[in-house]
Amino acid sequence: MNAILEPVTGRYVRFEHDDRPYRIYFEEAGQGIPLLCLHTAGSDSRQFRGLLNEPRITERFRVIAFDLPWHGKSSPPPGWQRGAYRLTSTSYSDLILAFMAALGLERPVVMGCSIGGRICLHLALAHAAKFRAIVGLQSAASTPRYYDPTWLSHPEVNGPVAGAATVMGLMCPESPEAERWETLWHYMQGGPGVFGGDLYFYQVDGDFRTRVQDIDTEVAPLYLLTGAYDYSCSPQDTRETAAHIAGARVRIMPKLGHFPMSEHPQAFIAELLPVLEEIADEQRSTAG
Amino acid sequence: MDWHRFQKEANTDPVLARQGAGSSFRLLLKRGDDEYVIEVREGSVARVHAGPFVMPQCDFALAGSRAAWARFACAHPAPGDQDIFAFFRSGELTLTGDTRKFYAHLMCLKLVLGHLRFEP
Repeated sequence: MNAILEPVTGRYVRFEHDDRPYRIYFEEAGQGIPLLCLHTAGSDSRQFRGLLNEPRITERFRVIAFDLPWHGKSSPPPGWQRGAYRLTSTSYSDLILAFMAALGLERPVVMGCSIGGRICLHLALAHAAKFRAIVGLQSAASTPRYYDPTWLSHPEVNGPVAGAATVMGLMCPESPEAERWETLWHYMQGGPGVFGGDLYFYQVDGDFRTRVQDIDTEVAPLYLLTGAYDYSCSPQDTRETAAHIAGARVRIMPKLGHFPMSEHPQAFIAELLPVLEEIADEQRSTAG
Repeated sequence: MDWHRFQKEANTDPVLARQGAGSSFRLLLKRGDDEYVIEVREGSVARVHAGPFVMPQCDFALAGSRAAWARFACAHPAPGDQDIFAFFRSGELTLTGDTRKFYAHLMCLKLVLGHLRFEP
């Protein structure tokens, strides 16, 4: 047998937040500058498996990816059966800050995709000083409602499978088949109502169009990386958002879609490495 | 559109056979003035009925221009042309009919529509 033991470790951290006990699962690998990774709506931290296994990143960055409560291996808090799950700008950003405090992370780089990319804009506005740099993937200030996600919670619809079917076309058709279908598998394992609950933040509560111009990229550099095949957060959406933020640095990734780190990890890493180099260099020059 | 080839390729696709298993629906596909009913039974394309129809029997309909469907059906679609939801966003495709059934069979439907694309 030729077994490979990955350098990735998974652990749980428990903390009280918003008067409720949470048990949050996270994976990490590497050492150096903390790089906190935020998964997309309806999925989990497995989306960052490629980054966690990439020595060119982990030799300089401590990559940490956690499952939001209700996602992956982070169960909902007790009492979940009595209320609907609904992510908001406030609950999302507060949870990220609580996780950082629980792990004692000081000024990490935060990198989030889709809903994670959107919350990066909120963090850049309200909490920029807590971060070394902010990297939004598939990030824009708003998304039009071109489909109705409430159908994903209909009792006669298999929500997780329909959710996977909803997002499957957001990927570049040329991304590797195995990686695309692994990305869909994560969606197929989602809890009932969770994807739709995340989309409440993405489509309704998290509209950020009137506030992005107040982001100060002097406090924390802001990078916006968007895959060309994404029609949910399209390159045009990202460019329009960036046009209102002085100093935002945009990079369009031509052969990627809405799930760059998961649908084609190697292609994404090639796009990300120069950004991380820049962040590490700025860190060095600041420290020097 | 070579519907014979479409049906043959769809019905020899192992991914569609597995992921579409159990799905049965009738899609009315409107391409400009042309109409087709794609009848899917248990994850297989049972038949493609060519219009015009007076009162077509279908569960839901997808309607768009010939140009929009041509871009969707390109063997290597341009960014933003690879999925029907992209055309929903642009307003170039519209969905009517039983939305519950559309979502219930969405995985099978998308895999079936993927076979509108032929390698040259």
